[in-house]
Amino acid sequence: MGNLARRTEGGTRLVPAKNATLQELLKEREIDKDEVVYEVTDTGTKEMKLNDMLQPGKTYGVVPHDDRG
Amino acid sequence: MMTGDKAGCGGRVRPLPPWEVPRIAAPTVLTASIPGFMDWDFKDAETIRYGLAGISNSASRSELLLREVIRPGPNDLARPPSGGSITVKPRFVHGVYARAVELGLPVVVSLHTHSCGAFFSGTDQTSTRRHAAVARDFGLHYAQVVVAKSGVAASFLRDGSERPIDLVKVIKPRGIELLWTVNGTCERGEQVDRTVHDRSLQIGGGIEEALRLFGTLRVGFVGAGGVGAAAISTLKFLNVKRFVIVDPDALEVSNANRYIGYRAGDIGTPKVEVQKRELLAYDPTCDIELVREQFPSPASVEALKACDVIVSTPDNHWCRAQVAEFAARYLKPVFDAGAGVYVNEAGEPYRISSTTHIQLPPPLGPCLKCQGVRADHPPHVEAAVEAARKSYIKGYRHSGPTPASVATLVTHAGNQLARHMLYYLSGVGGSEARVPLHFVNEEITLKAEDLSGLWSRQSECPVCGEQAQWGFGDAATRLLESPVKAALETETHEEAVCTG
Repeated sequence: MGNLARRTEGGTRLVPAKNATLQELLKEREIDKDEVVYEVTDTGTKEMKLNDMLQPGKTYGVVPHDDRG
Repeated sequence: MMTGDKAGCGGRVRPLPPWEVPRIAAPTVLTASIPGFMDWDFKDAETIRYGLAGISNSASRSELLLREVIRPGPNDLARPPSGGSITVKPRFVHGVYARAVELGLPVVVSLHTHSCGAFFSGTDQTSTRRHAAVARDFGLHYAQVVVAKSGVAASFLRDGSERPIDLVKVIKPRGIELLWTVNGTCERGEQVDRTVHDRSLQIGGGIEEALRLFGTLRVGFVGAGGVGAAAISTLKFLNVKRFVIVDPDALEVSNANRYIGYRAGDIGTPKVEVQKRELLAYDPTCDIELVREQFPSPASVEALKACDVIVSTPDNHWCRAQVAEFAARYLKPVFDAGAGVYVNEAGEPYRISSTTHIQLPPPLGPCLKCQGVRADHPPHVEAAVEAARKSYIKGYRHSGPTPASVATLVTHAGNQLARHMLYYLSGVGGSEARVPLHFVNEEITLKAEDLSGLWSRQSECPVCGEQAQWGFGDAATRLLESPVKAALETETHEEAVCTG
C-alpha cells in the first residue's frame, strides 16, 4: 500500500503518486471497495468511476465509512 | 465541546462539564418541523439519520432549518448495528451530500443515538473531522446531533471552527418543544413568576409550560394596528417578554376608538413607539426591538429572522402573503388575525367580522395562501374598501351606522389570536386535538365559525408546496416578494377585508 497514492486528512484525501485508475487503486487496496472517490474541481465535485484515471497534482476526496459510537 | 468518559460507546473521550464553558448571548438553534424528527427508539443498538438544512443568520442568532430527513436502510449499513456503534456505507453518505448540493441546501446534519448519554465520543469526533473535509469539498457545512434519553448534544462546524448548538427547537402539530443541549452555552428559558401568574397557574393543565414557552420565545409582530395592539396587550399578560414590532404607521385620530395604548396627545406618534412605551410601563425588563418600516423591508426581515413565532396583523393581504412566505422559508409558526368590513360591489358592508389564521411551518400544515388568503383585490373592491374605511372613521366621530362595534371587533380579534396561540403552545386538549387554523367571528350575529376543515396544503403552492423553498432560510434563491405576488396576482378575489 502507498505506492500508488497516500491518504491524508483522516483518510478523506487521496494524493496520487502516479497515474492510476480507480480500479488499480482498489486492486492495490489503496481504497476500500465501498468508498466513494471524487475529484474536487473549481465548480464542484465529480465522482470518479472505476476506469477513470487519477493524476498526481489533482485533488481527490474520499467519502469513508461513517462510524458512530 | 462537551465530552464525557462513558464506557461502551467507543473511543476515548475527555470530560468537560458545560458549566466551565463561558456563556454567550447569541444562541445557535437547530429548528425542525418535520414530524417524527426527534422521535427515537432507544434500544440497545444505535440508530442514525441525516438531515439537510438551510441557514438563517441574524445579528442575535444563527439557526439551522431542517428541510429534509434521510434515513439509511438496512442495506446502507456496513454491518448490523451493535450496542455501541453503527457504520454507514460511504455510498449512502455521498448520496446525502449530493442531495444537499442538488437541492441547494447548505448544511448536512448527522443525528444518531447513544444508549449511554449525550456526548461526543472519540469515534464521533473522528467522524466529525472526516465530515468536515467532505463538507468543505462539497461547499457545505456540517452539524452533528447526539441524542440520548438523558438529553441532546449538538455542534455546528462552520468555516473551520466548531461551535455548540445551544437549542434544538422542535415545532410540532401541537406545541413547540425546546431541547436545550447539554453542551450549549447560551442562557436558558425564562421561569414563570408564580406570584404574578398565580391565577393562571390555578387552571393547571399545560398552562405553566405554555407560560414558560411564552417567556422564552421571541415573538415578532408584523403590524401594530388595532388588532396587533390588542394581541400585544394580551400576550404581555401571558408572559411574553421578547418583542420585535414592525409597523410603518403613526397614530391618527381615527385610531382612538379602538387602539389599546392610545393616550391623548399621541396623534402622530409611531405605533411601534406607543407599544414600546406601554410594554415598558408594564414590565421594564421587556426586550423590545422596533422597526418602523413596512414588512418585508430588509430591516424588518432581519429583525424577524431572530424570532420564534410571528404574529401577523397587517392591514393588507399583500403583506400577509409576504409573511406567509417569509415564515415558511424560516420555519416560523404564524398567528394571523384581521378584523374588517366585507363589502359588496356596490360598496355596501354585508359582514363585519374578525378572522384568525394559524400557519404552521411546512410540512405541518397549509400556509395562509393555501387557506384562502389572497393578495389581489380587483379595483372595484379596492374602491369599496376605501369607502368602508371612511365610514369606519365616520363611525367613530359621529357614532354613525358602520361599524359601531369597532372597539370590540379589533380587540376581540387580537385576543382570539392570543387565545389560539396559547391553545397551540399549551397542548391543552391533547396532541391530537385540532389546531384552529381558520376561525371567523361574525360581529353582528356573534356567530363563530371554525373553517379549518376547508383547507389543506397544496403540493404546487409556491409558499408551502413540495418545490417551494420552505426551510431554505438565507439559501433561498428567490426574492421574497416577487414570486408570491406574481402567483397571487393571477387569481381572482371577490371579497376584501379592511383590517383594524
